[in-house]
Amino acid sequence: MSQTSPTPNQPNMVAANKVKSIRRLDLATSRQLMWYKFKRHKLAMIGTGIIFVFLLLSIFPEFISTTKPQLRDPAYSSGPPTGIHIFDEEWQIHWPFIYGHKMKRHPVTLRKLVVLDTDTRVPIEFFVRGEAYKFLGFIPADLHLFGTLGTQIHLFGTDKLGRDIFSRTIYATRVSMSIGIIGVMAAFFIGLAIGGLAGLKGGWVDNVIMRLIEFIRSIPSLPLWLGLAASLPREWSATTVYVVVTLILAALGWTTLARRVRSKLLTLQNEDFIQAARLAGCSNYRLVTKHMLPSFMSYLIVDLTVAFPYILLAETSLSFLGLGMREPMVSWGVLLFSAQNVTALAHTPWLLIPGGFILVIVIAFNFFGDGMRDAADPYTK
Amino acid sequence: MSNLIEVENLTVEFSGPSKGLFGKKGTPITAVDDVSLYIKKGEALGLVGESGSGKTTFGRALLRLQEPTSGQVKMHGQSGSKVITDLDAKSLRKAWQEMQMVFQDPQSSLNPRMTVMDSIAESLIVNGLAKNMEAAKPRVLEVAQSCGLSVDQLSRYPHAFSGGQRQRISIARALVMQPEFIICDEPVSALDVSIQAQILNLLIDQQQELDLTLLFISHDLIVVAYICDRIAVMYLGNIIEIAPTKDLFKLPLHPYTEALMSAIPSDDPDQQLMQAGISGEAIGNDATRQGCLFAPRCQYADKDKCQNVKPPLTEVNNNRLVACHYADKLTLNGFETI
Ligand SMILES: Nc1ncnc2c1ncn2[C@@H]1O[C@H](COP(=O)(O)OP(=O)(O)OP(=O)(O)O)[C@@H](O)[C@H]1O
Ligand code: SF4
Ligand SMILES: [Mg+2]
Repeated sequence: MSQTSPTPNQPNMVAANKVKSIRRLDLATSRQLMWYKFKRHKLAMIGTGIIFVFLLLSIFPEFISTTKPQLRDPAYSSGPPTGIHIFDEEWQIHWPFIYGHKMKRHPVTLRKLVVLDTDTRVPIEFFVRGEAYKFLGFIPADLHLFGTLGTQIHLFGTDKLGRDIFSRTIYATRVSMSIGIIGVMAAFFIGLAIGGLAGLKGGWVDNVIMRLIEFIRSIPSLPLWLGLAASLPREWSATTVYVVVTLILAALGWTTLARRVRSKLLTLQNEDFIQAARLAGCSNYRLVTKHMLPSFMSYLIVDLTVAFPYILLAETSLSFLGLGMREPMVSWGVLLFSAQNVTALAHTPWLLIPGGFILVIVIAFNFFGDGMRDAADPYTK
Repeated sequence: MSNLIEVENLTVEFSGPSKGLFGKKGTPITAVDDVSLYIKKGEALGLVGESGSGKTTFGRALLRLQEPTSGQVKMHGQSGSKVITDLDAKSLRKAWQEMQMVFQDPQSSLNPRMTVMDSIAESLIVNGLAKNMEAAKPRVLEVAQSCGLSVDQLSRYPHAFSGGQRQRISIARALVMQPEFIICDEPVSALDVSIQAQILNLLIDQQQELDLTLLFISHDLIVVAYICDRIAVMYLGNIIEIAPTKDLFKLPLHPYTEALMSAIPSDDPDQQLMQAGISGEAIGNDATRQGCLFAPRCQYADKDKCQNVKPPLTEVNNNRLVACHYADKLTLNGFETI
């Protein structure tokens, strides 16, 4: 845009700037206003960044991981995280590398021990060709973000069977995040439909639905999940279990949302601008979709971001107790399942690393949710 | 002149707050109590009364934004006569093209997520008078300009406007379908005093230019007097007096009207009533009430008739309608300067 030549007159400049910024806000859609408000929330922006990274992890686990989640490295079972070195034994500096390793037995206890072989240095390389996989499920590829040629790198160590924890965690990110996302989406649609029905129909329909919601909410959730999950037949495939667990979590998560939808619909019906829209001749469908939904959608999204960590944690709890996901499908809960006993923890504490991922994503979602809550009503300062 | 709107025995009840765990319905509140009146074509009828007297409910019931419990509303518009209270949803929507409303609170009467242009154009598009935004634009610009909005403001969102401007937008939205009848529910009471006159003048101009019929709701007698040809005074859901503006001000016939008038200089209606020597709250109107509803606060009330017999709205003197047993005996003070 062309501007008049800059005046030396300071106040005028300020005034001009002010006018410009007011005009930008005037034309801003509610979504833009929300974005301006959200942006001001630093923690929320950090949370958004983290969530974004996790989404990348769950979309491209084949590329980011170094190996397949079920692949075993018997020569390195229960091995600690591979150290990445820059200096060798003689304090010579190198491109980051790892040492090779050998398997030995403890002279007294005869426990298997992994011993570093400081004679072999294996450099870490980026964009290495490794195991073949299907990119996004259909494009054949074998490129990996990083890796080593020869000796396997185990960034987070390995479990008893020699499976690479890092790769398993990355793959688990996909399973856990997708359960969260699909669960939240399903809860969203169920909540929207049932809450909408209650709010719009009113009368006995409303009554029945509200009592049902109260009933569901009054059941202690952990025993309920346990009951439902335990009733899943053992012979079901991992995929079926995945779908059913997701649905169970969604089936319990919709009540908050349904309540929100209903109460918003009820209060909105008496709002002047809704009455005005009725007078304008809007059909009920248009009234709901064009006037009512947009004005509380942002609150629903806040509810969803708050619900996400709950669904994630629920899945983790179930799997941790051995009732949710199971091998060969790995989720964070499944990974933690193997860290259940004290011996495992004492000898292989790196099995807990996936728990760190859960912690980070839950906190990130809480930050994100905070920002969303602030931004949800863009018309207040 | 013929009547545009005829209201017969209109009653609106709200079920009171439910009591007890299982929601036994409380005694219903009668917000509008058996009201009958007419509004002539091209006339501006004022409806005054204190807060909670049922003015808004009455206005909404006329349009069936609030379903009346009983009674009839008839409209004799250019497209023929119809009984609004008998229309099905579809014909009601059609009838709304001829009857519109301007709401009290300009902050909440516009959808914050639609541009002003979209808000004004909506009824044209929804009712099929314009296929799309493009086709609706000329009419929107026309009506917006006549309401004092500048064309380049129309792509903004409501949050960019002041209260007075928003009220102009609301008026433009109400006028865009060229209705015959408009209900203005306290259209200026949420505005700064300095802006009120502008909006009132806009309404008067539009009314004269378009030959509109108005129902103008307010708790402020001065505002109503400024705009209206006739004034109806409402108390607890009942019309207690209805008269041409001049006559009403010169000689109020109902003690409540007198009380309202004697306190005119004050802005706050509750303050007004205090000064008028009327104290206490209006007691709710439910089925158990008998006698004159105003009796507990009326300085002229007697111990017998006023307590036991509800005075009907009847004609006294020269075609004046009033609901007071002593209307023809009392000499009440009016408000001279009007
Ligand atoms: N939706 C509702 N449910 C129950 N009671 C209601 C409802 N709407 C209004 N009322 C009651 O009906 C009566 C009349 O209310 P109304 O809003 O019509 O008064 P009003 O004269 O417009 O008052 P104000 O000057 O405050 O706008 C009040 O007692 C109010 O409490
Ligand atoms: S009927 Fe009686 S109580 Fe009612 S207004 Fe008239 S004098 Fe007052
Ligand atoms: Mg009102």
